[in-house]
Amino acid sequence: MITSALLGVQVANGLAVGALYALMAFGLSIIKGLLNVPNFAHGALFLVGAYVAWAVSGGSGSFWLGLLAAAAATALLGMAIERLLVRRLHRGAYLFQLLLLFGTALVMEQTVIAIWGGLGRSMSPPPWLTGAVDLGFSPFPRYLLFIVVAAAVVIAAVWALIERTWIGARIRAGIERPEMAQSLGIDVEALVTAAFALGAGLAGLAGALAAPLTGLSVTMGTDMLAIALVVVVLGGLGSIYGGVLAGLLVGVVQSLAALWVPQASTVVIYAAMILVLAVRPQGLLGER
Amino acid sequence: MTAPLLSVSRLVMNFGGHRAVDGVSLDIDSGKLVCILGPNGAGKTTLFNLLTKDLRPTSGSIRFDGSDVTALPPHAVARLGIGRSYQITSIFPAWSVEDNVWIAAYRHAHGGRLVFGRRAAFYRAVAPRIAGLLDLVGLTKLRGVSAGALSYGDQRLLEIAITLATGPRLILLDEPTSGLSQEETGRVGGLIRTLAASTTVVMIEHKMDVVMEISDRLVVMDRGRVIADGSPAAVAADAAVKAAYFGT
Amino acid sequence: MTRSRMVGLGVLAGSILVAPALLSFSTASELLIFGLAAAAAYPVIGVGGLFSFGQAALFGIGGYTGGWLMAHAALPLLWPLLAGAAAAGLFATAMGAMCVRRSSIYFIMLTFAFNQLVYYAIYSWRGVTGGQDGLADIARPARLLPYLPGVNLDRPVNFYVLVAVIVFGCFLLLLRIVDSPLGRVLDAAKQNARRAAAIGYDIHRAQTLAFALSGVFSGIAGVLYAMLYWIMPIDAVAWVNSGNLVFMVLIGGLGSIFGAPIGAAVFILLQDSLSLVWDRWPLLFGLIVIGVVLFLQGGVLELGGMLRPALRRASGADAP
Ligand SMILES: Nc1ncnc2c1ncn2[C@@H]1O[C@H](COP(=O)(O)OP(=O)(O)OP(=O)(O)O)[C@@H](O)[C@H]1O
Ligand SMILES: [Mg+2]
Repeated sequence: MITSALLGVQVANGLAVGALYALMAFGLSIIKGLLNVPNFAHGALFLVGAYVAWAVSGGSGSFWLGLLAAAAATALLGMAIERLLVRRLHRGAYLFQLLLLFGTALVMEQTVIAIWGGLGRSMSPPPWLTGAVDLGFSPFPRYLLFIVVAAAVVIAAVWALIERTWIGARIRAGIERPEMAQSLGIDVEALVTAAFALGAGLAGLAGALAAPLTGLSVTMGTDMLAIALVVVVLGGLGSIYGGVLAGLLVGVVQSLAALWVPQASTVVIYAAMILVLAVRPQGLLGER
Repeated sequence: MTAPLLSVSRLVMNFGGHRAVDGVSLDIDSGKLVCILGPNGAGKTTLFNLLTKDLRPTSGSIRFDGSDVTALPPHAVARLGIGRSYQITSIFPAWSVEDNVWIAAYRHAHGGRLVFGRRAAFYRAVAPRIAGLLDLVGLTKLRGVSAGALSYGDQRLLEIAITLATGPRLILLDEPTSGLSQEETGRVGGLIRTLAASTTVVMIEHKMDVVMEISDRLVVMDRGRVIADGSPAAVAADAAVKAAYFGT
Repeated sequence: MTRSRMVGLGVLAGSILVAPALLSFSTASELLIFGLAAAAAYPVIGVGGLFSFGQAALFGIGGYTGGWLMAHAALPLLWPLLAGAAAAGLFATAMGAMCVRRSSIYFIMLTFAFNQLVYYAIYSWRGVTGGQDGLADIARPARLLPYLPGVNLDRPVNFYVLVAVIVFGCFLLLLRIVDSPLGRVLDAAKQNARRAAAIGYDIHRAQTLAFALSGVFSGIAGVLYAMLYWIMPIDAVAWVNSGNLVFMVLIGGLGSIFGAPIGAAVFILLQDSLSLVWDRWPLLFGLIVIGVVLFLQGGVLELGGMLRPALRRASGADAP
């Protein structure tokens, strides 16, 4: 029996998971925009973020410190990956860049296992985020609401950074017209590093937010990467924000599908994606 | 009076808000050598891209040899017999000169069939044709050299050989002499004259001496429109052309 | 056939004969099976320049289809082999048709998504596939072809001979494909897609066909793999395995299909020896991937090419 309360909780759950997808896709799109390569290490950064948040908040007792540490650590890692590795390859050498990121992802994942062990962990949200708020027609678990709000705030902040500031104008110029940006004397190299750090930080933050929701496991990064890439494709060619919309959509669809076909909810989203792309090859918000 | 080989009617191409080709109508008769000229950005290359379907027109129609080709993909119009060279040299840089011509000659001889049971080397029957074409463009000595390593002028000649190897009935050449030396320009000019004797050639060209000397007909474009069309002498005397092209 | 092809095939045949003397039959079989899977990826990745991250799905579809038949019906090997090849070939055709129209980066992401679709489908369809535990109870068929006397494939040496014959035969076919007009058109489209279309080639069709063929041979490799350990593990379909296959093609050398089996050998041996050293061997492996990408982009074949002049010089200096 599917009650409205159950439906409500599933939608809430879907929105929260979707908000995480949106964060991931947003970061991927920023990196893809400047580097023109799907960041295969994005899932590993998500994983690192989750474990750092777990370790730091467990050690310090502060949930906020955990979030902050996760975002900062992954942003730094992203910066290092770009500076020390990706930069050494020619732009446009896709296969090599992909394999490089693939190798980097392996190293990060295995390092996490080497440090914290291969067993799953659980992390509870801080006490003030347990329980649920009643929205009238349905309860909305507090922590889920927190994820949605946190993701919205962060995405809005990054949006403001990109659309409203001097740095953002440069990032956009770098994404849309790299040659022109170069000829205007914009330091594209520095932008790429900044974008990579930003995208990586978003992935780490998403991991940290996910930890209390889904628990921690060493495969969480790979699973997340796969879905995030799908979300970016669904969002649309050349559209940074399409992924945000697609992320929420995928989260809700997946969560609702779990009501009817509990085992196959993940298959449903991949099938849906292929269907959507067959009908609308440019994705939801992409331009032809 | 026979039907024209190529017939373009009210062709329009918009890039976002910019109209690069603005209602062009043209008939090209078989066996003629037509030159298209016009200032930078006039829409000449875009017109070629529309003819070869590298771009889909916003509106208008294209008929080739009596059939409507407006909705066909690039490879289909190529098979019907429209061949082209690009303004920016377009060859297969990793292959030898000979292999570059082979891939085009094989397509012509075997209709683009994607055979995978036999080695490519089996299809030797096109060898004499390749030799003939390399001889025609003067690249026989360089046939084993990697195309990417050729001089710029030789690459342009190779591209013409590739285009010819597909056996086109209409040849579109986009500034074939640009960037060539005096001597190379002379060679290409001679080559084009030879071609024009047996096929139909439309070429975009800036060098007035070449244009005036070899063409049967001149078409002048400006801002996406045809502003003059006629014999070389008549067009050269046209006031509108002088204004647009020579800025006087 | 050119001289270098003959030499290559000779070396390959020789290695197949010698391998069991140096390795266990099962390791040698695994090496050949992955050699075929990598060679099957070569027309798409190496010749076509299409960086498919969906190869594990093709391998897996072949393995699960063939494996399921072998687990449930006592058929001659021919049928599971054909079924696996056909299923993977069909899926590859559909995947190719949808993906080849995309620009490179979306192509990569889409092939990847197809891989995940297959992975989760297999993962969720427990009743048939065994889900997370893999498809177990696969029996090696008692006969190869209908109406022929039986062969005991459970004897490691027999199984190795079977794998060797099939892999070598498939490799010859793949070599043919690479050298065929189709192979040339794929290469042309990789170098200059616009030009290839302008001379009249339907490049999307050629690329889809390459995918289909790649699917067929990946599927065959998958069926052999399902027999190898009598189980089809779901890890074989994971995207990491797609990455591994791409890496095998790359580490062997993108310039020649002979690089694919070399790459597979390097990969499997590396994996086996690293896993003896340390539980966290994928970490070392990741570092090796990074090292190869940064310093040895031409792969092992290029390394050989770089060493050859040096060797010649050394041996020349010794001569009187
Ligand atoms: N793919 C495109 N997207 C957007 N604008 C384009 C595109 N191709 C051409 N244009 C624009 O269309 C106009 C016509 O360009 P086109 O290349 O056809 O000119 P042209 O006559 O060949 O000039 P040139 O003599 O410099 O070769 C130009 O303003 C150009 O910027
Ligand atoms: Mg032009």
